[in-house]
This record gives sequence, C-alpha cells and structure tokens, in this order.
Amino acid sequence: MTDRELVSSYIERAAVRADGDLGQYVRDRVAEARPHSHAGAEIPDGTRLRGAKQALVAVSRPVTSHQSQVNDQVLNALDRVADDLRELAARITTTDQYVSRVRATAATIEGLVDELVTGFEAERTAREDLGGQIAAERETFAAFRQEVLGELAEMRARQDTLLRAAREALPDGADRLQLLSRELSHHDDALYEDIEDAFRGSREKVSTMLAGYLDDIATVPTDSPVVDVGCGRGEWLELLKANEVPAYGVDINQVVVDRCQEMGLDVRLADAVEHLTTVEAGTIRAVTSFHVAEHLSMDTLVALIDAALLALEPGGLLILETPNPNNHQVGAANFYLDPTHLKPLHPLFLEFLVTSRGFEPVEVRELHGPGIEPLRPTDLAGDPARTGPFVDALNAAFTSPLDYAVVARKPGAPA
Amino acid sequence: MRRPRVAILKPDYYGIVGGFERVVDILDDALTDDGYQVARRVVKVVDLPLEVGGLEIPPEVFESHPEYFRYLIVRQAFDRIDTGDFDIVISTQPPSFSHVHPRHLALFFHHHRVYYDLEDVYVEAGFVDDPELHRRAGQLIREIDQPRLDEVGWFLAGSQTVADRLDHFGGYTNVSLFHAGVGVGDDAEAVPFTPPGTGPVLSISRMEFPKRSELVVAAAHLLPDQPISLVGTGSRDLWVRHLDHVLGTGQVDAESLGPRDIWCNTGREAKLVPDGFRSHVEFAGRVTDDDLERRFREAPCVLALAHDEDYGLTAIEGMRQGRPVIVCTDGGGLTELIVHEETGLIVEPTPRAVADAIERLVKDRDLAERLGRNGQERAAEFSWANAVDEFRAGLAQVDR
Repeated sequence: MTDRELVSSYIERAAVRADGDLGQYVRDRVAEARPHSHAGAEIPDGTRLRGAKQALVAVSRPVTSHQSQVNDQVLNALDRVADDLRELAARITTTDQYVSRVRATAATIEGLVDELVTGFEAERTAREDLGGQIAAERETFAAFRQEVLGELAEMRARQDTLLRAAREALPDGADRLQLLSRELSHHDDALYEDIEDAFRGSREKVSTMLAGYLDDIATVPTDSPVVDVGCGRGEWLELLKANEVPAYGVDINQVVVDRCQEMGLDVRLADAVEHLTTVEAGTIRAVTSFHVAEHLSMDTLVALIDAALLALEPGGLLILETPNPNNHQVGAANFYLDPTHLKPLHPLFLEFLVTSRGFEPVEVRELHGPGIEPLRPTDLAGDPARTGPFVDALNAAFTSPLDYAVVARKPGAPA
Repeated sequence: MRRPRVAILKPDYYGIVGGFERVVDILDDALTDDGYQVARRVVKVVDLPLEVGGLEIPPEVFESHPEYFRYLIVRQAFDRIDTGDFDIVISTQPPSFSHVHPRHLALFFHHHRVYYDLEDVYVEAGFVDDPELHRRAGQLIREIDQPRLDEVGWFLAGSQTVADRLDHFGGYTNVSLFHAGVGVGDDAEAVPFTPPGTGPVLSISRMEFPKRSELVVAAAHLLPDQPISLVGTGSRDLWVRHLDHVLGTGQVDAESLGPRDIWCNTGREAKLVPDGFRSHVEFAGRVTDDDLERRFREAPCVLALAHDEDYGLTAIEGMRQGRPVIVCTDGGGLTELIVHEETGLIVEPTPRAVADAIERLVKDRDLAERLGRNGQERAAEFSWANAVDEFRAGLAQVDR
C-alpha cells in the first residue's frame, strides 16, 4: 500500500468513525453493490461484443445459473452483518456514552481548573503591572525631585548674585540698604494700619472682645506690668489703663507707636523679642499678643514664646490670640484679608508649641462665635427663621463664585 | 425559580485570543444580565490525543493531512462534552456546532473554510500536496457535518455572506444575522470627524492567506509618490516584504503581475530582504492604540483588500474613523459593508484598480470627505447594543 493509499484509507475510516455509524457504512456499500448482483449472469446492453459474450454466458449457463442467487445471498448476508454491526455499534455507543460522561466530567473539572488558573494568572499579571507602574511613578517622581532641587539651587544662586550686585551698586553698602528697607517697612506700616482700620472692626467692638481677658490678668495677683506685644490701635492698653492695671505696649510699627502715644498710652518702639529678652527675667505679669502670631515666621514665633517664658514671673500669663482656621470662613477666606498674614495657625499646633516650650497648664479657648446658631439635624425641616442664617452662611462658604475681579477706575472724568 | 443554564462551546486553538473572545465575553455579560446562568465549555485542541472513534491515527498519517484529522478530533471532543444539565447550548467556532443539543443556537461566523468556501482557492494556492485527497477529505467532512448542521435550531450568521454560504452548503434558512460591534467591551466612543488626512494610506490586516496584503504592496508600487503603511503581521510577513523588495528594486514590474500571481500562493518562495532596503511602503507591525488612532487621522483612505472575508471589522473601523474604505469585488463580507461611491470604493482585485482608486481619493479630497462622512454615519449602526439585540432575537428562536 502506498503512503497515499494508507492516508486515504485512514481518512475514510476516520470519517466513518467520526460519523459514528459503521453499520450504515456497510449498508451503503451493499446498496451500491445490489444493482450489480446479476454480475456474471447477464451481459448488460451496450457492452462491446455483447453477442459473443452472451453466447459465452449461454454456454456456461449450467455452471453460472445460480450466480444471481449466490450474489443476492452474499448481499443479504452482508446486510445482516450490517444489522449486527449497527446493533454492536449501538451497544458501543451506550458504553461510549458512559465513557464520554466520565470524560466530560473530567473535562468540565479541567475546564474549571483552567478558568481558575487563568483567573489567578490574570491577577498575578495585573499585580505585576501595578508593581511596574509604581516603580515607574517612583522613577518619575525622583526625576522630578532632582529637577526641582536643581531649579531651587539655581534660583538661590540668582538671588545671591542679584543681592551682591545691589550691594555693590550702592556706594555706602549695607547702611544704605538698611535705610532703604526701613523706609519701605514704614511705608508698609501705614498701609497695615489702614487695613486694620478697614477690617478688624470698630474700637468698641474690639474692646468688648478683649474685656474678658481682664479676669485672666486678675488671676496673677501682683503689680508687675502687663506687656502687650503688637498693640495696634491700643484698645487693650486703654482697657487695662481704665482698670488701673500697670501695662505698656511694644510695637515695631512707627505709625502705631505715634498714634498710641498721642492717646497718652505707654507704647515703645521696639522689637518684642529683643525687648522681652532685655527686661529683667521674671518681672512681667503677663505677655499678651492679639492677632500678631499669624504675622510671624516660625523662628520669630518660637523666639517670642521663649522670650516671654524668660520675662514672665512664676504663674505669669502668656495670651496669644489668633484667627481660628477651624472656622471655614476664617480659614478659607477672611484670613487672607491681611496680606501680611503668613499662614493660619491650627489651635492644636499652637497648643503643642507653647506646651513644648515649657508653659503649663495651657488652655485653648475658642472665642467669638460667628453669631449664627449651629444647625441641628432636625432644623432643616423646621423653622426657616432658625435655619435661614445658617443656610446663608453655608451658601456663602460653598456656593460663592469661584473667582472675582477688582475693576478700578482712576479718579476724574474721562476726556 | 432556577435560572436557565446556558453552555457556550468554544475550541481553544493554542491559547490564541482574538475578536471572537471579545464577542463571547460581551454575549456572556448580556446573558448574565438577562438572568441566565452561563458556563463555558472549552475544548483545548492542543491536549487532544490523535484518536477518532477509537481509531488511533499514527503521527505520520496525521501529519500528512493534519487539517482533516484535527477537525475530526476536535469535533469528537465537542461530541463528548456533557451538556445534559444545560437548557441551551450556544456553539461558536467550527466544529463546535457539531455538538447535539435540542436547543442549540449556533453563533456561526464561518465553516471550516478550507473544506468549504475556500477549498478551491486553497488548492489553487498550492497549500495541499495532494489536491485530490484534499477534495475527498472535504467531501467527507461536508458529509459528516451536514447531519449535525441539520440538528442546529437556529443560526446567527456573522454576515450576509456567511448566511449565503449556509444556504449554499446545506440550504439552511433558519438563519438571522449577527453583526459584531466595534471596539473593546462597551461601544467604542464616537470619533470626532476630521477631514481625510494627507499622510500614508492605511492598511490594517493580519498577514495571512487570503488577507491579500500583497495586493496592497503591489498597488503601492504603482504609486511611487504615495506613502502606504501596513499595520499588522503574520505568517506571510516574509513573503509580503519580499514582494515589496522585488517590486521596489525593479526586479519585477508591478504592471506585469497577473492579479492572482502575488497572493494566491503559499508564500514559501520568499527570500529574506537585504538589510537596509527601504521603499515608500512602511511595515509598521504591531502598533499601540494611540499610534493606530494617529495613523487613522493622517490617512486619506483605508484599504481592506482581503479575499472573501466573513465580515470585515477593519472596514467598519475605517468608516468609524471617518475614512473612505477601498475593498475588492470578491471581498465577501467586506462588500456588504461598503456602498460603492457612497462610503467607499469597490474595485477589481488588481493592483492597477486599487492604485487608481487610491489616487482618485487622494486627489479628490471632496469625494474622500463625503465618503468618509457617510461611512462614519453607517459605522454607527455597528454597535454592541445592536449586536446584542440581534443576539437576543436569535436566542429567542431556540429558547421557547
């Protein structure tokens, strides 16, 4: 058998198996053979030399007379074989069904295991991807950090160069520079006072707000002076004076000092830290400072607290009042009304700072409510008269326009 | 009440994940949403022993006609899957349809094509050593497929072309159409229309027989000033590059090629292209989605020149991107998608005809823009939402 014949036979046999009906196959072949069952007994019409062949058949008739019957019987026998085969096939099919059920169950389980494995693999891949992403992000971040550090160094160098150039350009060097800066800062003094006048509130209002502290001062039963650091318009000193509490103010703002002195108050032009470190230690009844801390750098604030600790007598008070960023309106907006404010001081932070520098006990006292009743959960469905102001405040805090512009006109009529 | 159980039958050929997997995922989700309990029954082809009905196939016999024996072996594996517990069976790629179940929906994208509609062209190309044996095998396959196809309750044909083949090869009319959507997962986002670009003409196709990347290259060499990019790769990559080399170096004149010379072959005659050879034809290989998007934007038109495609997702994607699409008259499903002179051009499958069509679209920008706009409108019909509707209609035919 040639290779091709071998392959061909397998192809055919495989097809029969795939079709699952061997009996049908035999039956079909028998059906194909049946029209030819007369083979050897008759000569079909149109055969070449039919006459001669017919004669030959006639001569051999005694020998071949039963050929057709023989052929038929062979075919019938084959037919029965086909039947048997079909029955056999049916039995095999039943057996096969059992086998395939077992196989199918195995395949199903295998399929489920495969799905599980695929799931696990997908997850692992996802995790690896994530790891890669994090590494990439970290790299990007490191590069960005380097870039920023570089830029920072560059800016510092540029600033130094500029300062050196400025110093060299001024004939009298540093003195002239200081003078210049003092002029500038005094110019700022006036501006700051204007701002305070515009936004801090009326003298009466401020006085009322400060009156509560008189009780605190009374808890230190001595005659030593109270030092008010950054006394502004002098409301607190006035209040102390009216209550016959010895006190004086310290301020670096020339305008403030001038104005307070005109009102007959004892206010000295000096740097508070410098002043408190030069007075005799343990001789001050209280150091007060209202709305100053938020103007100070961290170093200065720490220095002020340290200096106060030195200057105060045992049991003496340090009072620092500052805007409370816990109030949304204050923290998000009002704080920035004053351009000289540095950043809001969180009460927990200031408490920590004062404690850590050695004061004890330290109390954080929340002051000056916004004049709106806090909302209760039941209010919104209730009396609009109660909820109205709060809703207004909420609206102001959360639905105010996102930007604003100042549009200003120079005095005088356009030509 | 017990949720009705649906089994999706799928062969897994060597873990290849293609468009069909997406389709199955989406239908799986739709069925689950509709309250069915869905399970997949996958036949891993690589694991099956060389055996049919207990007849062991010697490896050398198997190797002499692997297509045939593998088909029978996989078919048998689908027979042996037990779906007695399932209310409905959905078959997918051939030969999963041969599984017998009283409520059987066949998601029918194609027959085993080399024994059906591709038989002649497959033999003509020289893929079989013994054509007579191949045809005999094909005849046997069709004989044993027929009774099983008769048992299928309803066919969802992937296109009219596929429906016509079902009619041609068995007279089946219990068929409705199922047009797969475009994009991964949910419906792809609408692409804003941009006028056809002035960059390279774009062809996206796996380089397989009979996708006819060769025709793209041959047409390109009739337009030496027009850059053309082929995205995709495959087993005919070497041959297609070889063709680019012989045409690009003038060893062969593109005009002299008979229309079938270049693609209707095994591609085994390919020679390695010498390093450093570059023509105006770019072989971009696999590209990222972003890169592909850019290429669509820059392309003046898109080529989809495959021979007798089942469907034609490339053409739909081209239309979705607002680009006129050129397909061939013998493109099968592709010709269903494109309306000549309305959403693209349908041309004879010759390098000259394709080159002329490209030239026309590049020169006549108004025409290109009009076809592109129309195409984008037409592409919107091929959404997954519509596909799932068509699927539900088919399912209703067996689920009652």
